[in-house]
Amino acid sequence: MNRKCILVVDDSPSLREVVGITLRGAGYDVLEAGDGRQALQCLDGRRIHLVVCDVNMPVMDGFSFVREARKLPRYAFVPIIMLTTEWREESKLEGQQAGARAWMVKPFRPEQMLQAVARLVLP
Amino acid sequence: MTFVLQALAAGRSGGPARLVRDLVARASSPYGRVPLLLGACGGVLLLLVGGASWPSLAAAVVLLALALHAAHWLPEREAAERRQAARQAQGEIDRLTRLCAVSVPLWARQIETVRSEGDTEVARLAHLFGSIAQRLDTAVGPAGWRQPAGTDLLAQLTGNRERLDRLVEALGALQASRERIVAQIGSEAARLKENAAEIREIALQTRIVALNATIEAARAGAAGRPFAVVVTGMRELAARTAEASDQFSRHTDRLHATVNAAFREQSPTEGEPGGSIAWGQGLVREVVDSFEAGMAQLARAIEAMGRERSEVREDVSRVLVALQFQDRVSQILSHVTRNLQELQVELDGDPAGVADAGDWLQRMATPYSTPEELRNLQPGPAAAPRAQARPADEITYF
Repeated sequence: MNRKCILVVDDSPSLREVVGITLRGAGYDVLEAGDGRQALQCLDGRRIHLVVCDVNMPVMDGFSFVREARKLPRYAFVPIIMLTTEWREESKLEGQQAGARAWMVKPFRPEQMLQAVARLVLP
Repeated sequence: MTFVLQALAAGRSGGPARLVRDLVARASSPYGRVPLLLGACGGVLLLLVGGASWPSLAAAVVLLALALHAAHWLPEREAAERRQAARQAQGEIDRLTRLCAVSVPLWARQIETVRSEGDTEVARLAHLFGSIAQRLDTAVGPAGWRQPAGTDLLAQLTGNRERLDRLVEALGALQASRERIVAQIGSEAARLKENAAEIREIALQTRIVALNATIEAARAGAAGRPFAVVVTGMRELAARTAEASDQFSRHTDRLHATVNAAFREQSPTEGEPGGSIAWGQGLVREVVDSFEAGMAQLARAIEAMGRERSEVREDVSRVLVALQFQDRVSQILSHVTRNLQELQVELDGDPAGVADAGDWLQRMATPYSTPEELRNLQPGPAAAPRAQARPADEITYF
């Protein structure tokens, strides 16, 4: 049975590891990237069912990545969850305007993450 | 006195206007204004007290001259002291700037090292923890040990037990059947022996009759001779019949004994292993009972593991929340590193370009996003870490 693939974008290796443990434990395949530019390189035609993305990252931040990803026809509708320490409303608004589908504030509970993923992941 | 001579020279060269301008400049400084006022007041007092006499006038002029000298000398002295203080302050600033130029980059590197090492090691720790959690979940999880599977095993065992019970019953029925067959063979053998005894009795009676016939044949003389031959034949026949009957009886006995022996080998004998159906029945029951007891224990253990698994999952979830502390620490440290680098740029640049402290603080705080960083913007002790990070309760869906 083909497993669904989720791209995790965060400059923190430990955070990527924690998200990976959560998602792999639920049966998803996980792809990792350390910043927005690396994440864009992962959007190379492979099937991605959902993206979990941090906001504050070096090289290319999360909002820029979301905007660039939305320009790619194959990935224009891939659901993106922003996972960040940002809690200000203006940041949430910017995320929404960039094209994100959900906003989750760190630290997250694994059950919360899985609930959001189950709700948004592509079939 | 130097000023008085200079003033007189200026008065001759630049006229009274220049003299007046100098006086005004001195009077604008408190160090010049005070002696001028004192001198002027003193001169006026002298004139008032001494009148317009030459001594009074001379004294007043001398007092005024002294006042003018003081008004010139004090501000110069004060300006020189200020210049000296400024030079010292600049020297101190240069010294501190040199210290910062050496220290700030070092602090930035040290902090970056701490941040990077913490990130790497916590990531490694998280990876190891994830591996342990995965193996634990596999061992006590749904791979084959969940209670429904255990219950299925018990159901299978119960079904097998019933089949084995039926087998044991069939074996028992077979044993009873064999015993009945042995009994029937025994009774048939007894009847055969009775028949053989009857035949022997008949043979004996026949011999007796033949004997009597022989005696009568002898009495009949020559006429009885043919009859005697028949009688002889009859006696032989009777003898052979008796012998056949004996053999038949012996064969019947041997057959009965053989069948008895064969069945006795497979008949229940207490404590003797091998071959006995009842022994086999007992063994099967023992094995099944033992296996059933073991499976019941296993079912209880599976149930206990299921409960434990739920609690372990809760603990794993809490640990995964706690491990996210490194992300916050890393963010804070990276902001501090960037602030130090920006401070270094400021120190290396034009000192006149140093931002206002308030503006500087606002610029530093722009990327702050964690609650701890925002709390630390307020004066006072550093924000204490929360004992347990509280995950956000809501997810915002757009």
